[in-house]
Amino acid sequence: MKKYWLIARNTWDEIVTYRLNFSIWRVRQVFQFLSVYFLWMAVIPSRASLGGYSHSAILTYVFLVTLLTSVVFTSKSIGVGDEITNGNLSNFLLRPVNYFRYWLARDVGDKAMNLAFGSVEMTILFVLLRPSFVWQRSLFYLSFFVVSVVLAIALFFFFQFLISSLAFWVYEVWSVRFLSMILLTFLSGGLFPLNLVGEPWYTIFRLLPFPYLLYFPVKVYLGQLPVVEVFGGVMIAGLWVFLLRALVGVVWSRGLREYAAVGR
Amino acid sequence: MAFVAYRVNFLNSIFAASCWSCLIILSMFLLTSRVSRVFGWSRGELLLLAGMYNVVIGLFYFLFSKNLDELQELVHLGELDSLLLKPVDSQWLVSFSQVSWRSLARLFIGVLFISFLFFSHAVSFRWISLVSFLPFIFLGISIMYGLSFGIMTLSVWFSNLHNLRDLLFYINTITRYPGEIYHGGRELLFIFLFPLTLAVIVPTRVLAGQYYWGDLCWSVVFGVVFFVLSRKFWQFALRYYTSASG
Repeated sequence: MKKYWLIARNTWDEIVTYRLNFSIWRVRQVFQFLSVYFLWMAVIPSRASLGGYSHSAILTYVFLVTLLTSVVFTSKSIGVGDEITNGNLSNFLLRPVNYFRYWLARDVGDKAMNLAFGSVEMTILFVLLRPSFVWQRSLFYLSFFVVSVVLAIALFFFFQFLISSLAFWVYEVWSVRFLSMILLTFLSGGLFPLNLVGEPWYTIFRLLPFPYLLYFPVKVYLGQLPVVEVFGGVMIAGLWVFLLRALVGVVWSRGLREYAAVGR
Repeated sequence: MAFVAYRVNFLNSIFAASCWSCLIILSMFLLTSRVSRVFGWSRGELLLLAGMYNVVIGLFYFLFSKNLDELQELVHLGELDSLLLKPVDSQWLVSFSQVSWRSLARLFIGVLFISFLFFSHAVSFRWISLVSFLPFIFLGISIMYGLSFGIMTLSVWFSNLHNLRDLLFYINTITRYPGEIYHGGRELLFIFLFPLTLAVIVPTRVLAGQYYWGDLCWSVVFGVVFFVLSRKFWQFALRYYTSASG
């Protein structure tokens, strides 16, 4: 375990080394947040509601989605595709390091940094903007919020790993990844709460893994889901984590048979 | 045309660009299905804004996205030298050497959607508007170009900044929404964002037959000023360019 802790620590140090790069990444997150925040402020003025969301609920949604995006939608496992393509994967296959745990450790370091900075930014923005915010006090919803965030992190990790594994067969993975991120942004509830799309699309989307990345954890925090739905959502998210993990295992073992270290 | 050699990638990138354009329009559809007016903008006008955003962004990305991406690489690898030695203006060479064909998908979808709005009478227009809005598209692109080129010029000093391009993408998203939403006690922020908000809003309003002379004048002023500033900044930055061996 110590080696994985060191990997996580090295990832943290790597980010701190390229401070300006990281700062620009955070500025970009702030820009994204501001455009969405002011839009919803305009669409749902105070004392108004839309689709079951009050003014404070929608602003809480925007804040939490931004914070969770920093934690869930950041993943170093994007680099897996490059390592397969340029042959650097060979180094890791020869080392006494579990490749999945290596990237998981890197993700931990990356997410810790993003969470730290995301929290500071959201706090500053909260103080400056003084939005009306929903403070969840129920221990049930708070604990399942944490559980759903952990599941979301696992979901995104395996999903990104799956996309990166395509590099065994496809030279350029970025176009597939770009398309997947566009769909993820929409289907995860990153643009707006998914229940606003109406039926039957809402029911269809809930069967996919993507709403469990952002939309479901925030809905749990807001306390807008009955207990049964919270348990059901957590089970569906857990099932998707299991399925994606299994799929990654199958694709990875098939991919290793194709791997030829072309770049080396 | 080398990009087309990787056909699957090319088709996938066109598909991805089209999906993104459709999502922007779909988002505005969903938003306006529940709310009839936002800061004085009717549903039809907001949908027109979404379509115009795709047109302006599509044209901007078609002309400049690959060049702005490459600028950082040129500086980082010291390959800018070969462009500086040519008997052509360096900013022109750097800005117009390539085009991004996949961005035409966004332009096409934007035009298609705007045409749909007009033919379905969701928005009314006059034929004179079809001619008068075109210069404001180019002024909007000039504003975005000036800001984007100025930011990418920072590569001369910070050639390892890989997130600049992503930052530009998110800055451009400011232009998707009416500038009025940034009002309300946040005047400092609004002043900072105001030039950007004009890039898409002014051509949209002109096309819808609404002439706010204040915004039109500001659009002309900022379009010219941002371009001139980008040029001055580029010439200033070249004094500090040291190539890969520097």
